[in-house]
Amino acid sequence: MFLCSIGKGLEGLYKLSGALAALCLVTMALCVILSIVTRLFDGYVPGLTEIAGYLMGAANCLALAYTFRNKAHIQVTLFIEKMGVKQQRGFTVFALLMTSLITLYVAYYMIRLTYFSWDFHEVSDGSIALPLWIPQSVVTLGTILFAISVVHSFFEYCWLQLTGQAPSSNAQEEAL
Amino acid sequence: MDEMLLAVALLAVLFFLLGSGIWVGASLIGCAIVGMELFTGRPTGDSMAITIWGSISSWTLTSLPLFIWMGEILFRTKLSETLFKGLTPWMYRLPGGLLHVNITGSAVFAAISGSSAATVATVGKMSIPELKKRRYSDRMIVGTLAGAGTLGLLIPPSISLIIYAVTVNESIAKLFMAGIIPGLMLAGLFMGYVALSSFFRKSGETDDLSFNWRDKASALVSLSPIVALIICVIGSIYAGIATATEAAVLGVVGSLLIALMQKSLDWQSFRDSLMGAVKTSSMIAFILMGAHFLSLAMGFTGLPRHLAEVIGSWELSPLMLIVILTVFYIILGCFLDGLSSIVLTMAVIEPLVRQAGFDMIWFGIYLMIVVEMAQITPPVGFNLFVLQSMTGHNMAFIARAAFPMFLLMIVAVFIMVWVPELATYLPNAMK
Repeated sequence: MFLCSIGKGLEGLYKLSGALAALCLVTMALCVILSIVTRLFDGYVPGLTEIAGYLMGAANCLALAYTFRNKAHIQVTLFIEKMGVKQQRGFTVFALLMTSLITLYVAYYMIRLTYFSWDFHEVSDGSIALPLWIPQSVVTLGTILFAISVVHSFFEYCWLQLTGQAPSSNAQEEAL
Repeated sequence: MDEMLLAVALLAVLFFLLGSGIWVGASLIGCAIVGMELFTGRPTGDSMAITIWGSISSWTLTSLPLFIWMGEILFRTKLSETLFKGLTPWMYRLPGGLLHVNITGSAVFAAISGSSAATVATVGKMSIPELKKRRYSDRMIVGTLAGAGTLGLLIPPSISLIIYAVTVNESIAKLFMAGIIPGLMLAGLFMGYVALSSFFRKSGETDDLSFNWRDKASALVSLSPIVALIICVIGSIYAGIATATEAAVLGVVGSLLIALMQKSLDWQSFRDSLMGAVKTSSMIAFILMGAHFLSLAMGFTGLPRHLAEVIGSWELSPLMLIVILTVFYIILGCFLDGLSSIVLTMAVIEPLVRQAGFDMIWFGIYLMIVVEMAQITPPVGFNLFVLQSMTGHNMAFIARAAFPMFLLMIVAVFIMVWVPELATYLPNAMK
């Protein structure tokens, strides 16, 4: 029961970060609109392009976990589909384990990057000199959640496997 | 040559990671980590973090999620119905009849959406049942859809062209312009094939249809919002008054207005379109993170340079090189989706292509056609998957039906080699 509620809580977290990603995308669109409008009136708002770029990065990264749990990331399933059920399960565990390790690695180094940016007071190249740790910490948060979601899927799959309810693979559904 | 051996080992690692079902982005990152550790003494993780940060927060990429969103909004409108009803009065008299609606509909939708699978799905949603009702042969319905869907990547806006542009550092706007004429040419080839084959094997009944000029005019009016949107988006890029990102925002606003006008925009469909866009964009971002980091690692291994030198020493004619690359991409497309095969290979192929003296804009358009050819050949082809779920036919049938289109695309590649201006004229004429 305890595990169940953790699982539910995590699902909520992924949805929340997905919603935040959507908010970032809308804000980014608004930034571009603002820059078009101000240009029409010969105005100029400094830093809009940089901020739009950072918002895109934030949107993409915050959505990583949500996208993963919705099985919208791409994987090559061609060879695995040809195998027997047992091998399929083995490879699914292997793939989830490796992806967990790699995403944890990414999250760890993104944390380091953000920490160094903060420690060395690094600022963006453009006109507003925004401290880089601010956008970087959002992106880093996204990669942390992503790692959590993959590890979550790994344990979930193993648990289902042990209790005998596992599907043969974790293959994606066909995405558009 | 010791270095070469290690590089080959690296490729083996990559294919093992990909083949074992590890997500594509993670496979690329994993392979790059191995490469960095083997070939350099540089701090692997820190280089990775900087590369990832640079690749996902760059302004040049901002048009991507916006164009994806635009497609997602329009996908949820009554667009497929509008297209079918608007194009039918203009197409039903042509030899081959309403099959042309599949092709012209795809060409129009391609000009507002960047994805070929979405093009197939949107056009097919309406045309498959309608054409079946009129007893067109299944083979032609499926074949034309599969083929024409590929226009989605060629006619701007195109998600794959944006990815290519960012990967090789070329202008998105120029590549968009370069895709227009080859895209229309390909549509023309498909239509010519439909017309020709209708003389040999007639299918479909259109005798009960008749439209006078007033019907035709009102059909045009019903299409006008979409046409206006296309002209705004592509025209503003061509005229140089908007960057790709600004044009994409125009596209988003325009498609929201169209959806409002058709009364198909409610909170639910708005939210769905937004979440759909975020998901696709994030999926692509994950692959791009891996691809950029792998490019960096590949650069350290020296493999791309070696390969360019070796192939350069063969002194192949450009035509021969294109033939080899075409075969290579079709084989690669048997295992990988189009997007992954573009980002994965460009790190290695780019120096080679530059050294052979190809125009990178031209090469981008060539690459789109070749990658799309791979999308309609089994076993991995998104267009095939979409058609499979829409028609219920098996993969083998769909692939056979699409085969003539595949041949036509090869013809298109050769025409492009002989007349490179098809791709390079518009970008050079741009302001």
